[in-house]
Amino acid sequence: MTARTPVRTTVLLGLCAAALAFGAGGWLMASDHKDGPITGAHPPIDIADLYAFRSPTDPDNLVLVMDVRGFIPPSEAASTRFDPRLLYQFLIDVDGDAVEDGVIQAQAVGTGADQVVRFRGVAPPRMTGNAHQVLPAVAATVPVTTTGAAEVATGGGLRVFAGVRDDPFFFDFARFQQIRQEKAQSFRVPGMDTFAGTNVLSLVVEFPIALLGGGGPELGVWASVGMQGLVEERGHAHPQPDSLDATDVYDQVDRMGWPGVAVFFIPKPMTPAYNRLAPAADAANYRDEIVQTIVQEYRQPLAEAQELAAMLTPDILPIDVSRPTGFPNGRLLGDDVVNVVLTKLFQGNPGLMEDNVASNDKAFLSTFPYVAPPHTP
Amino acid sequence: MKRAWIGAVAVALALGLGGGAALSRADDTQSRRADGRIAELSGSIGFLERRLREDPENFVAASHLVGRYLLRFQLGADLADVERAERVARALLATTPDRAGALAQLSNVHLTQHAFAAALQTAQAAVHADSTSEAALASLFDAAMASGQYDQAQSALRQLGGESVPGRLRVAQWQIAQGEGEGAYANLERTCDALQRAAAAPQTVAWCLTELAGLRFEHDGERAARALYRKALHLQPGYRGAVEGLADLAHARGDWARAQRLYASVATDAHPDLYLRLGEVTRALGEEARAVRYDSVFLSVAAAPGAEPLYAHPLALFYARSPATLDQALGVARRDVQRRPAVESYDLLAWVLYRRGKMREALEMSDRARGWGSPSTTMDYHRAMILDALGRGATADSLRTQALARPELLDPHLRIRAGADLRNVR
Repeated sequence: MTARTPVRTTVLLGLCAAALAFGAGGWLMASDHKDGPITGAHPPIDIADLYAFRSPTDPDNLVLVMDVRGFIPPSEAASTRFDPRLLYQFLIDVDGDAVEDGVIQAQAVGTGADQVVRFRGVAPPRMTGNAHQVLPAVAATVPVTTTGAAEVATGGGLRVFAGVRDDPFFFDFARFQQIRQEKAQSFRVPGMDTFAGTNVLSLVVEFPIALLGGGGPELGVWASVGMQGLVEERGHAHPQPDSLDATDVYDQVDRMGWPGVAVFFIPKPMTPAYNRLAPAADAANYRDEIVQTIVQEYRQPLAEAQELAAMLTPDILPIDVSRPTGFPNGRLLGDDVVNVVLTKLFQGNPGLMEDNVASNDKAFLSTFPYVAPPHTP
Repeated sequence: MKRAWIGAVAVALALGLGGGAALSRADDTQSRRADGRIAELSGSIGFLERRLREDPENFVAASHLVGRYLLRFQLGADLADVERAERVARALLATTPDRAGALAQLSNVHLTQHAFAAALQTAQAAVHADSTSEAALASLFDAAMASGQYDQAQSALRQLGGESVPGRLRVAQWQIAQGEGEGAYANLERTCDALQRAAAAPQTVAWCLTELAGLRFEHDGERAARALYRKALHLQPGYRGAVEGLADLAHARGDWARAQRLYASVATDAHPDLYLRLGEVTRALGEEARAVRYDSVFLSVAAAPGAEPLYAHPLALFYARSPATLDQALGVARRDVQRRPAVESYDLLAWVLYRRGKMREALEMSDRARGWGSPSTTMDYHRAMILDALGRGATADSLRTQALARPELLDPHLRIRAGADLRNVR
């Protein structure tokens, strides 16, 4: 790229290649995918889904699953890795104040075939809110699984997994968007799972509920991704590549509790700020916006909209561990959360209350890490 | 135009002009080593095509598919992939909720096809659809820069900003055009570093390092640049841009045999200018008959019906070599300026006019080329030749001396010619 070279396709395509890795790339959207410029521009940041359920093998244990980087084709399962610059976190509120009392952190080390993920916690956070610091002690380190058998590690009371898995989310998202654009009036019969056959990067952790040290049994769970050295620009946050080690504080760039709040209910221009804020102030900041969206876009009565908005703020997934789990008490891998949401959004319109995709395209495992093996070529 | 453009390749193949490919095949080890990544991309493409056949509304698959086609073209240089990308990108517009992003993708495809007007128009539509879309702003910058619409490019860059990776890449490109090499190098180096640290695809990192190597060559010389090209090839074996970069380094230092071997390993109908390079180095090695064959292969691809917009620059330079084809060169260069009034196009026209003996108009075009940004070494040398012919020897000498201080930075078509000048200057 010397000064004033004629346009060469290599240069332009390089920009496309970089775009695919870091921006201007394709749509990556599951229940929460690509819900803001920074997350869409940087797929490894983007939280696709969060699941929380009591362990099917030991009801005294809690299982948390965070999926990031959706829509990985089978042939790329072997080469996809976590971004080592990011801090992935499960955050748990045990006393109902919408502030995290315990966190579990995951950070990748290495960029190639030897990549591992270090898990820390469960422990009280060093900071609360939308900025966090890494906990001092590593509980367990696990090699990243790509196409082989799931590698699992234990330590500090945690059982952990990190790697490429089948995307457990199922939704006729393509038709939903046609409906949203008023290009279609109803879901298809049968529906088409937009995410069938694709993979995600999964972080799975199982631990004794007792490790939370009291509180509960009504817990609140959410996931976040943090990044160092962010700078503000055009109202959005961007990583500043040359200052990554300047601070040990990770600023939140994405979060998720309930499935799809940022995608379905938060107006697009507001999603960057939404993703960067802690949930404690959601009711004050976003409840009215959510009510407006439900009334105006989904044409639901005000009372129903207010009820739904109250449930979704703060954007924290509730789970009462004294009861059997299943959405909306936590979220199981196989829960058809889409139909629950559609039923609330399109009451009285049978063609819109179900997407007619009833289950995932792969069977889940009955034992840890529960998420199904990846689709491979 | 598109049909004719693809047709050009088909015609070349039908006429047996795969001769160039045949010549290169024996020494094609570098390209073969990209097979692993190409197979991976082909697997993804097959999967995404199937998903799209099953559900034509699946805009997520379609958007990914466009990107994968372009990535495979970067490695495999099969123009059919660009055609496929265009087809899917157009269909995507009917299904996607992200119209700005889809238009930006289509603009990228048009730019790859050197359909500059379409690229610019589509990028403008993307920004109109969503003026905050990073993808849209980036595509507008790219299309505007390539089309010589520098005010639009600057405006898009201002909105895009320089902190995100796509933004930083564009800032670097702008700095290069402004002659701010050190700033561009710093931006690009940080971007490459960020890509590596983020576990980005090796192909993406290889692209970044290859671009960085070009700048490193200007600032730190061949050795530093070669190390970066080799690092790129280590990360992404067979990465064509890096092989071409190594070939250019060999060409610049006059190592014709090595340049010949490297160019031959990446020469393909999608990049026929490499056939021209092969002709040059083969001729320099004294193999005239073989050089003529390379020239012939180049011409059959670049001058095929409808191919001119894609290959105008190398085609004009090729025609400008011989007095017998100077009028053809002039026609190509004039049409190029009409299609794309960018500084590179004006400089090309200035050079062809000089070769044609139209010195006053040549100077006027040189003035236009230098009317924006910072002139390259090649532009300085072109202008020196024009001024010399106009009897303005003192100014010409000054410019020529300046250009010949780093003759390796001249474009390849001038390097051999400048050799004699260099001896005179010294």
